[in-house]
Amino acid sequence: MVSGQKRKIMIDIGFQTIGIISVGLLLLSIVLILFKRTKNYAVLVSSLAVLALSYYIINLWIELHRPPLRTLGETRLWYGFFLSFLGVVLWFRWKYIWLFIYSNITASVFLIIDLANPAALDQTLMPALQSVWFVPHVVVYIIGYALLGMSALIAAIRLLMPLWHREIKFSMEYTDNTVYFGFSFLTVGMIFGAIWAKVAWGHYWTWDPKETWAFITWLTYLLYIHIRIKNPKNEKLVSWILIFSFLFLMITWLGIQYLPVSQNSVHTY
Amino acid sequence: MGFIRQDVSSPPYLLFINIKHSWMYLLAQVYILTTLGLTVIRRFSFKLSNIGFMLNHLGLWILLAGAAFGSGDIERYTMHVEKNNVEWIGADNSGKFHELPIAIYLEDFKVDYYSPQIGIWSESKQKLLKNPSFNLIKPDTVFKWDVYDFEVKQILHNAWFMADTFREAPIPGAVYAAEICIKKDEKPVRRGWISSASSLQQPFSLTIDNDLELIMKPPKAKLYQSDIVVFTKSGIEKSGSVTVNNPFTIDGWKIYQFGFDEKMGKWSTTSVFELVRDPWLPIIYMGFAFLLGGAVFIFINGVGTKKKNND
Repeated sequence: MVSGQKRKIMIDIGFQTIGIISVGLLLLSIVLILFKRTKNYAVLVSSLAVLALSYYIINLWIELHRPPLRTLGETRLWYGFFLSFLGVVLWFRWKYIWLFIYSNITASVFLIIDLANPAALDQTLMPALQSVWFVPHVVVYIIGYALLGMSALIAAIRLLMPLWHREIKFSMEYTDNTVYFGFSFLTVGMIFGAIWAKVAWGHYWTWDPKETWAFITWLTYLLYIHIRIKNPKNEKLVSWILIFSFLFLMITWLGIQYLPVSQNSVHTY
Repeated sequence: MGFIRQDVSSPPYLLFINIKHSWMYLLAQVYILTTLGLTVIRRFSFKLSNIGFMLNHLGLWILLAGAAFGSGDIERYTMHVEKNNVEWIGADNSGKFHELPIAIYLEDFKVDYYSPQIGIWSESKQKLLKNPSFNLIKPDTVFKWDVYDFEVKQILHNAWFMADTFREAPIPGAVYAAEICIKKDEKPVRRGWISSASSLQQPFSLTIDNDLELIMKPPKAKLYQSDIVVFTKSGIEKSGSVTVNNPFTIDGWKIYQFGFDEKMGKWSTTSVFELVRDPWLPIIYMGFAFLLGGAVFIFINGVGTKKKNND
């Protein structure tokens, strides 16, 4: 049997190598997609990055004897994975170069943050997290976050285009669709969380700070959906709503730990 | 809540620190239930094209209504039970004691810990360094960090410090202890014991150099488990075990593992349970089911406005 230190080195090197390879592949695919002749290889290259990341996640899962979803660093890893994955999927769906570039750049940024902060190997999982709901709750949320991050980017581009004196060539359909997908994931994540909370703490909703902010975020996307139905002409307003919604989402995901209320949250990690 | 820490014991007129019991919260509930309810009535139909709307809006209404009307009917009590004893008195939120319709007999209570971990404390930074963190699984292993080798000589799981060394003694107050030899460039620098702390023993650490100290991190719990037998007034008797995330269900009540005597740690002979009865729970779950269906619908169909125009 290998000693603890040897195992740790293996894992660190694992992520250093695979992380750097994935970031390299993602950045390469961005370059490739910019040129007509190499365009078709870009998706292939970023698919390799997705494969490398999934290989790493599976390995980490086995190595830690627990789902790698507990620390912020681990959630960033999943975010990078889902974004690059969505980049590939949405390329086949819509063939938008900027969407592909965005997802790969954002995925790279999150992976680079993880590379810069190598986390210590920690297999422990407190009893409250030992639940069948743990993985679905977090994974569903992260997929939702990745989709809604895209909707915010599309909205920002819509708002910026007139400033660059460019015509907006794409319809609202793209923000609509990413919001519908993302929103359904948020809803499912929230309900999974509520069911889990009932099993773990005896109540499905306790107005924990993270719950409150997740609820606020959910409401702002709900606002977007309703304004789109009632007042489809007002595209500027809804684009702004998407940008603010994403800010709320960031508070929910990453900002919450800096708020004084987080001291009595069950969601600080 | 979002920004301000809530205190349910404060009077409701302090709006923002007890917002759940304020008139604003009530007003918001009444307003949402009314408008959402009216919207559902206005577009009430079971046509296929309307299914997404109905699932989402009716589902949310059922959920909110169930939560609002049901909140008054929720009963929750905490109950302290001693090992080999039966208890049927529970304390409510305000600490008042009540005789409950169910009694709990505690057969056994146990806490399992993960294998202890070693960390390094930096005096100048006044914090535990993020790396390294070693798991102490078995003796005769070597951990390497920086220029140092840490050789684990012995690991004791129930250690007491007696006559300048640690010995195994499984009685309350025992701690994890390990004998470590620190080497620098293959030469031993220091050899001694490190240990975690308990209410009866001080922690031991080993000085590495002027700044760094080798310490044993507080053990992390892996499992809290109570083996219980539950009796109800209606004559039901049922035994089983309760762990975190696995409550015990009997006669409309759910029994949760809530706590134990933390001073005693794994030697605790007291287990604390939370007993919750929420008769409106099926309604809430119905709301969840509707909303889940609605979310699937949105995922496949969007909000359906376009589809409808095409039909």
